[in-house]
Amino acid sequence: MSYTFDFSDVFSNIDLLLVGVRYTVLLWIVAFAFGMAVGLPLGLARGSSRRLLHLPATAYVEVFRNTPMLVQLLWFYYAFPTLTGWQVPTFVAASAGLCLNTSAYCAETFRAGLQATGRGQYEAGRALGMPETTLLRRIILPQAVSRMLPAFTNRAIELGKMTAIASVVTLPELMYEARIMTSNTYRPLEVFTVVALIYFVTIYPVTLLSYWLEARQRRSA
Amino acid sequence: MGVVVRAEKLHKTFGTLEVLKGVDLDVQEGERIAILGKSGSGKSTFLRCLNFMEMPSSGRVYFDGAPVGTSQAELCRLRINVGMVFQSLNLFPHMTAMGNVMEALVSVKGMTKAQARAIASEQLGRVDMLSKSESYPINLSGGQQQRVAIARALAMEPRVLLLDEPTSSLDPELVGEVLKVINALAARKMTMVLVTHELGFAYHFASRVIFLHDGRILEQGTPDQVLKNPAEKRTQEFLTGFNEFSF
Ligand SMILES: Nc1ncnc2c1ncn2[C@@H]1O[C@H](COP(=O)(O)OP(=O)(O)O)[C@@H](O)[C@H]1O
Ligand SMILES: [Mg+2]
Repeated sequence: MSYTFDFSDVFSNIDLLLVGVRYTVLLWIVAFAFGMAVGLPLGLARGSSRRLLHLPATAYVEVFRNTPMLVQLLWFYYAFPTLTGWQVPTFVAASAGLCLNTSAYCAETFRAGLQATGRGQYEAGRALGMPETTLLRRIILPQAVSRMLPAFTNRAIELGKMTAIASVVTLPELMYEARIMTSNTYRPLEVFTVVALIYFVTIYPVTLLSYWLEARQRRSA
Repeated sequence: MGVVVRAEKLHKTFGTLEVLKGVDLDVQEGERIAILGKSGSGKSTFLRCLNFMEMPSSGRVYFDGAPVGTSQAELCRLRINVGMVFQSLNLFPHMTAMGNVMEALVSVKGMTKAQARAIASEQLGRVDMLSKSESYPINLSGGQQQRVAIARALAMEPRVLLLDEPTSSLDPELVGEVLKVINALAARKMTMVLVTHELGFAYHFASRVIFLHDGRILEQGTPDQVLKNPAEKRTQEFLTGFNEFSF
């Protein structure tokens, strides 16, 4: 074992990695926001007793939960230009798989959280004349959110790491930049040491945030 | 005195189980109706059809003489006018007693918080819960929770209040305080339909007693008629089941 670390090539090109981090974070935020926004109606449809809503939502969720993320990412990346004829920007094509996959997971979390809220709460709201949207916003979701919080923070942290998969479709996020740098410098050990560190300092604050949210919730319960 | 709520030929079927087999009822303004009957006879289902917590399988409900449709807007309007108190209390656990009473005043009736708070304070005062208005349901006894639930329903100023066994889930020592509140409502001429197993209370409370059997109204009349001189054999059998029952 006589390997001598030499970080000079990595540090002289560190700006490439920092550009990569910006894409990583952007992808992370976009996919999570999309997942939450689409996951809610999807979760409601999945929990619905109407077959017309329930069946398509279930099919959607199950397809995404039972196929590899990598396959989904590649599929959407190639499907966009091939099937639709749209020349969408790389970022959109690359984020589609992550967005849709996350929405399927969030839908399941919403469904479970909403179903765990007792029937009596729905009835109490309705009996006061609340329309369904008011009932959901004022009575059901506030109670469900605390139950769903650990699942969502877990998912957010997982998603931060999953963004690395987007490197296979040439989105210049952190992992993609790392691989380019490796082939240019022949210093994989140094490159991935630094990259691991950058991922850690990017994702760890969200983990800390999740601890803080859960502690706050325990205090208020 | 007019008819506030009318049920006409109400039927309700769950799967293959026919629970209501054609129930008719006129609720007159100011009336206090007590519904009695064995467990499973369809009392709750009937009450819940009156404010469409359950959709009747057939039949009609009229409010103020007009048939009630099933659009969301119509159901919401009906439910503001026909309040309900549940056996299972059902306060919103993430809101204080005050928050529970204010909620629908703001989110359904569109009042300002200040207006809602004024009305909620008055209603909580009437059920003697003003001193606990900032408590969360988890820190209230069952009797206190049910009194808040009654205040919450009354704050909407319903024309009729439906109460489904409001004391059945309470410890015996807490039943009295809730019945006292219901009596105070009766004194203020609130129109009420009450499902109960408290026969002694029903006798003094009700202006009319209805005996429901197997999804049909078997017998009805004044408390004296139904509870002291029941005409039907089933009613007599039901009443003798309550041996501690005394007027
Ligand atoms: N949502 C429901 N689904 C299926 N069966 C029900 C439902 N609600 C009530 N029932 C059945 O209807 C019958 C009457 O119930 P209910 O109206 O609650 O009676 P009661 O209040 O007089 O005890 C019971 O046999 C009960 O099991
Ligand atoms: Mg019942």
